[in-house]
This record gives sequence, C-alpha cells and structure tokens, in this order.
Amino acid sequence: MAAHHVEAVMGTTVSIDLRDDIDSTAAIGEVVAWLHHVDETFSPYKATSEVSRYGLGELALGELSPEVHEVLALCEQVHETTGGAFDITRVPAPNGSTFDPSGLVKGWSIEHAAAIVERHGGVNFCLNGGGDMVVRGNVDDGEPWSIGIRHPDHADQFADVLSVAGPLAIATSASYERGAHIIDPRTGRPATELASVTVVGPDLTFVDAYATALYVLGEPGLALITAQPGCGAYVVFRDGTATSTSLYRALRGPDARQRSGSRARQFHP
Amino acid sequence: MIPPPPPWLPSAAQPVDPIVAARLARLAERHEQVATEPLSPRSASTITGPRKHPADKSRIAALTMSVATTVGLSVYFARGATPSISTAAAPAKATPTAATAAPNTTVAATASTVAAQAATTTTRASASTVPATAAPSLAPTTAGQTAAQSFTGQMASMKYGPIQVAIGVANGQITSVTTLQQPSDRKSIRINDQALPELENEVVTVQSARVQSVSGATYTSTAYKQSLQSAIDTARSAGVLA
Repeated sequence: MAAHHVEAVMGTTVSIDLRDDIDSTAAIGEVVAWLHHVDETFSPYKATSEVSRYGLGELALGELSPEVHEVLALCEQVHETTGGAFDITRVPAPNGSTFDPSGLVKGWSIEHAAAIVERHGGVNFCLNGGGDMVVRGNVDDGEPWSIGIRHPDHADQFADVLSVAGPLAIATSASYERGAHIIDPRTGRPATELASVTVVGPDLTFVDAYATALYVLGEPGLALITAQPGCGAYVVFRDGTATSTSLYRALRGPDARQRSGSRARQFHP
Repeated sequence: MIPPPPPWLPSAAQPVDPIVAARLARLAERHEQVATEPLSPRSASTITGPRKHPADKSRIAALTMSVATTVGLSVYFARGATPSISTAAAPAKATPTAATAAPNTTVAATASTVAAQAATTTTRASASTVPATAAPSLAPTTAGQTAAQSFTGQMASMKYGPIQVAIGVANGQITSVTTLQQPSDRKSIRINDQALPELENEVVTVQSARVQSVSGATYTSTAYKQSLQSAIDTARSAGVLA
C-alpha cells in the first residue's frame, strides 16, 4: 500500500513518499537502513566516518572502501566538468578538515535509495532529502507530481512550481539558511551572487553537485549545465529576477506563476 | 595503453577502471596539497576548527517537546479506552528493517488518535534525535539502551478513509512515523481536497496548493522543521493530504 515516512538522518530530514501498492514497510526499512549506513560512512560530522578519517589524514586512500572510492571518483569527475567550481578538497568541513564530499553524497545516496524502492516494485514515488529529490512516475492515475521550488526570501512560499512525470532529479542550492554558506573553492570565500539555484536532470548524484557548482559559478555557469545531457536550471538573482533554461521551462506546470515583463530574464542556450 | 595501477591500490582488489583510478589519484594529490599548504589566508580565516552541529541549538527545545510527546502518549494510553497492549519481546538484534518492520508490539488503539497525536509530533521528535535515530540495524543495542521498537496502530476507518500509523520508538523517544494509507480510496481524495485550503493560506505566491514535495536548500533538521516540506509531511501523516 501507499506509504509516507519521514526520517531524520544525514543531518537533515528525508521524506519518503511511496504511491504504489507494494510492501512499503519493507522498502522503507531498507531505504532507512541504507541512509544511516551512508551517514556512518560519509558524514563529516562524525569523526569516526571513513570520510572524516581520510580528511584528517588518519586513513590512506587505499584503505577506503570501494563505495567511498566510487563517490570520490564521481566528485573528481564533477570537478573536471565544472572547471573546478566543485572541489571537495577545499570545503571547510565540520570535522576541522577541508575535505567534504557532502555536496555529492546526499544526491548519490538518494539516487541509490530510489533504486532500492524500485527493487521492491516501486514505480511511482518521491524521495526528498532536505530539498534535493528524486521523482519517479506519477502521483495518481497518470497525474504528474507537483513540485514546488522554495522562494529564496520566504520559507513558506514557492518561487515556481513544476509539473513532473518521473524519472527526474531536482536539487536546489542557496544560502538563505542562516549560517549556511557555499564556499567558492577557487577563492575560498562564500559565493554571494545568486539567491538560489535549482538544477534538474536525470541523476541526482550529478544534479545535486551541479546545483552547488552553479551557485558558485553564477549566471555564466548556465551554459555548462545545459551542456549536460537532460539537464536544465533555474536561477534566482538577489534582485528578485530569475532566469532559466528551456529544458527547465518545459517542466513548468499550469500552476506555475506566470512571469513576464522586465522581471523575467530568459536564458537561451 | 592502460597505465599500471597506482601503488595505493591493493593488488587483491577488484580491477578498477583506469579512469576512476586516475581521478582518485588526482583527487588525492589535491587533497594532500591542501593539507600541507594551508589555503589562502582568506579561506583559512573561515576555518575555525570543528563547527558545532547545526542542530545543537534546537536539540534542547526539541528534547523538551519530545518529553512532552512521551508524556502525552503515556497519558493517552493510561487513560485510553481499554488499551490492550500486547507486547511480544522486542527483537534483541534488530534486523535492517526493525524500525518499521512488522511489529512485535502492537498498540491496540484507535489509529485516528494515534495519527493525530503522532502527526503533531513526528517532525519535532524525529528532528531532535539525529544521533539517537541511528539505524537499529547498524547500531547494536548496548546495555542500558532499549532496542528500537515499532508500534503499529490498528487499521482504522477514519472519515478520510482507512489509515494506519506506525511509530518507531527508541530510548523512550519517537524516532520515526510512518503513515500507511489505502491509495485507491476515492472518498479520501475528495475529502483531502476539501482539507487543502488550510494549507493554501501559507502558500501565497502559488496558485495551487496541490504540491506534493518541495525543493529547497534545507541543509539542517532545524531548517526542515521550518520548511513547507515539513508542513506537507505533517499534513500527510495526519491523513488530511493526499
């Protein structure tokens, strides 16, 4: 049967929304166990995690488990793709090191969680980890999911609403949360140009990391995102104007607030 | 021509894609570079040793609310209409799905009330217990701690439709809430539609409140509690949102 579960894990909250007539209890149990395993292995808050121990020089690269190798190689791949705007070796981490792959780990882990749900027969579901989500199938009877994009200035309002038939991954990066800064690894200073950035694409592993990179790169980074197959982006500037790519705009549902006139900027790849 | 594997790779390990190996080597090189030569003074100034966990401040408040929740539930069960609590022993070694798996402990109570109480507390309780909610499967139960238990309410026919609520409890705190709902019940969808305007008041800039999930930069549990996603989750747990 359909089920809805909320789990506090990885320093944030993961909402699991299953809409199929499957053994939801089993699927949720496996997903929750997986997410806690990821937390134990990758958390920069836990001094005993493999990532913390590597970051602090207590473990050598060769001593890390295959899954950590997989994630670190993916991080390096995004580092190459984004021209250095994504760099896990230059992120001030809670454990005192400057090594923090969290910008990719969350998306990667939720993408894997989606695979777990699919193994349990799930076709229509949404996994939302702190605002970064994987969407599969539809909500009900072929009706697409309605996904709100948080307004950067108002926690209780939407800047946009998308009408999504899965599979799709959506991630948003911003610094509207007090104390949260996204550091530009190229300068070591917090990036401040944009109010918020939303990236959509086929795989949350990359979409999550691209959102972080685009926030750092600013508007020039849009061309880089559109160069990635199936990816689009929506950027809100500090002055309240916004721009988006055509792939992103195609996801706007009938409920999306119409933007027109001088306040809307259009990005044409 | 494939280059020889780097020396740090254990020879017994699975063959590693040379591209992956090269990426790991480059990453390690930059990591060592940063570790030996500190970042530029600017960035170094932003690194002020171990940071506090972002949820630290909320933990005391959340703990208070959790206690209130526990007391509230206790009062309910103590006073409730013949609360026949049939307790089979909690699993000594929790399986990976222990927290939400078929329960050994059944609380026979009207699910509607459990749902209502749980719904008001689920996000608070779960957000407050980041360390405590460590998966029972991964954290073996030590002496002095109680194993995570799952409580499943009976299937109840509410006016919103059939609904069943399962709550996970560890060390006297609610660590998770799961709502099981019959998906094919048309009546519930109709009533849910009527329940939506309540949420709509909060959603000003969008024309429809029929949003099932929210994308936003919610990095911490504290931020989650203040988020619209949290409100949606709570409403769904209460069975008033399809």
